[in-house]
Amino acid sequence: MIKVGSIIAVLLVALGGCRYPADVEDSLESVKSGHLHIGAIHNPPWVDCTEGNGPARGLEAELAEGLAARLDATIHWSCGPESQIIKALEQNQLQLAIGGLVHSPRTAEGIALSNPYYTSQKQIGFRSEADIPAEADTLSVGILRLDPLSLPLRELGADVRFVDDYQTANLPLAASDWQLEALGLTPGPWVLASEQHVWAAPPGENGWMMEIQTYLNSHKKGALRARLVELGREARQ
Amino acid sequence: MTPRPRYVMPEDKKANMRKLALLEWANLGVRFSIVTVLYLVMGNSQAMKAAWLEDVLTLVPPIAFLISLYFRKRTPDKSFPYGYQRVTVIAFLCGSVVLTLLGLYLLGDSLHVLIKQERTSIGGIELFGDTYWQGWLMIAGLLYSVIPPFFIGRIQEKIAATVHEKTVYVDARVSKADWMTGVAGIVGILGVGLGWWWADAVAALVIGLDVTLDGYRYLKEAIGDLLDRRPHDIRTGKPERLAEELEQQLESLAWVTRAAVRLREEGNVISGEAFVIPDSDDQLVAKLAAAREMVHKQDWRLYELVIIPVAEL
Repeated sequence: MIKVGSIIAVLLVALGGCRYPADVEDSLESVKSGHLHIGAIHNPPWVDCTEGNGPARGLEAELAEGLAARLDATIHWSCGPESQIIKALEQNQLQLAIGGLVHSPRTAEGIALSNPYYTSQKQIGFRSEADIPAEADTLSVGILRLDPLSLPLRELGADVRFVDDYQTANLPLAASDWQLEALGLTPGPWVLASEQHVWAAPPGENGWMMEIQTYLNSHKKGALRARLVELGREARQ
Repeated sequence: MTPRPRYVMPEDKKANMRKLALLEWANLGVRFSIVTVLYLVMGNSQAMKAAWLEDVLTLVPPIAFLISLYFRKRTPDKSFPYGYQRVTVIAFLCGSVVLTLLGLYLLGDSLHVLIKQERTSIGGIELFGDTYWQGWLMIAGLLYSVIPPFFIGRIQEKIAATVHEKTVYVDARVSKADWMTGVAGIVGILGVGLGWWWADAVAALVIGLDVTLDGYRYLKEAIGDLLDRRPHDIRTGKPERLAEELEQQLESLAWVTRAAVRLREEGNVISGEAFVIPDSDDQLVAKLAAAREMVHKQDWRLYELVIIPVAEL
C-alpha cells in the first residue's frame, strides 16, 4: 500500500508541472505551433469536399475553422474516403478527422472518438400534422438508398420505398430531424434511429482530445441544429 | 447401503461459520454494486473493460461458496452415503479456476497492449455544463472498487482459517486481486494522463503475474483435494501433522501395539482410516469404540475415522 501511495504521490507532483492529461505524441503542441491537418470525409451537410483539397465547407468544416482560429493554427485539408482517413489518423498522419462521423464501436477501433457533440434523430416527415396516422403499419415511406433505415421502418410495419431525392418524392419521408425541417415536413412520433455525431483524433492524444471536446461542448445544440437546417435548405436550391 | 451419520460441527465453529456465510452474502452484494458502478463509468477504455470483466468473474467464488453451503447441510442418504461435504471441494475448484483465468486474462491482455503498442484514449465528458477529463470519473469508480474488497479480504482470510474453509480463503485472494487490479487501474489512468501510453499495461502485467501465481497455487490445492491428497494447512500450504499425531495417540493406548493412519480432506472436514495391531482379541469391539471416541476429540474437523484392527502393518 505504501508503494502504491508513493507512486500516486510522484504522479501527482509530476502533473503539477505540465498539462494534464497530456498527449503521447504532442498533437496539441504541434497544432498550437500553427498547423492543423484535417482529414475531411465528403458527407454534406457535415462536410462538403467538392473543392477537392481546398477548404472544405459544411457544418463541421465551419466548426473546425473555429477551433483552428482559437489555437492560431492554419488548417491543411485532405479530402478522402473514411477508411483511408481513419487509417491515416491511426498512424498519426492527421490530427483530426471530420465528416459526419457517427459513434459506433467499429469506428472507435484503433482511433479516439470524441464524445457525441450532437445527436440527430431519424424520423418520418409528413406534409402536415393532419397526414400523421395513428399507426405506422399502413405507411409507405421514402428513404434514400444510402440512408440505412429500412430495418427500423420494417419493424414499424411500414413499406419501404427508395427515392432518388427528397424534393420530387410524393410520399412521407424518413430522414434526420433537421433534414425534415429543412424540407418543411412535420415529424411523426416515431424515432427510427439516433445518430451520435463525433469527431476523431489519433489514439492516445488525450490532451488534444480534451481541447477538441471542450470546444465542441461549448456549442449550443440549438444553434448547431439551426445551422444544419440552413445548410439543408441551401442544398435544395 | 448404510449412509454415514451427519457431520456435527462444534458450537463455536458454527458461530464462525454463520459469520462467514453473512460475510459472503455481503461480499456478493458489494461486488455486484461494483460491477454496476464500473459499467456506468467505463467509457471506451480497454483497461477499464478488463477491470470490469474481472469484477464480473469475481462474482463466481461467493456464489459457489453459498451454493455449496446449501448442499452441504444435507444428511448423507442412500444415494450419497458419504454425504455432501465434498460439494465444498467443487466450489473450491471453481474459485481457483476463476482466479487463474483472471490472472491469465490480465497477463494476456496487458502483453497484447504492450506488443501492439496500443494507446489508451480517454476523452472529455460533459458534466453540469463543464467538460472534465473522463479519467477522473474512472478513477472515482475504481476507488469505489478498491476500498470494500481491501477490508472484506482481510476479514475473510481471518475467519476462513478458523473454520478451515478453503473456498473463502481463495475468495479472500480474489478480493486481494480485485483491489490490487483497481489500484493498478488508477495508476494506469494517471499514467495515461501523463502521456505514458505503456503505464496502464505495465501495471496490469505486474498484477496479472501475481494473480496467476495465486490462482495456480490454489488450483493445485483443489486438484490435490480431489485426488485425496493428505491434508494441507490452508495458510502455509504445507502438509499437516495430524495423521502422525493420531498415530501417536492410538499407540499411547495400552492395547495397541502399532497404529497407522491415512487421512484425506473432504472439503472443510477430514476423514480417513486408522489401522491398529491389537495385543489381543480380548474385548476388542469395546476397545475400538473407545479409541474411536478418543481420536475424534483430537481435532474438530475429523468427520469419520474408521479404525480397523489388523494382524500386521
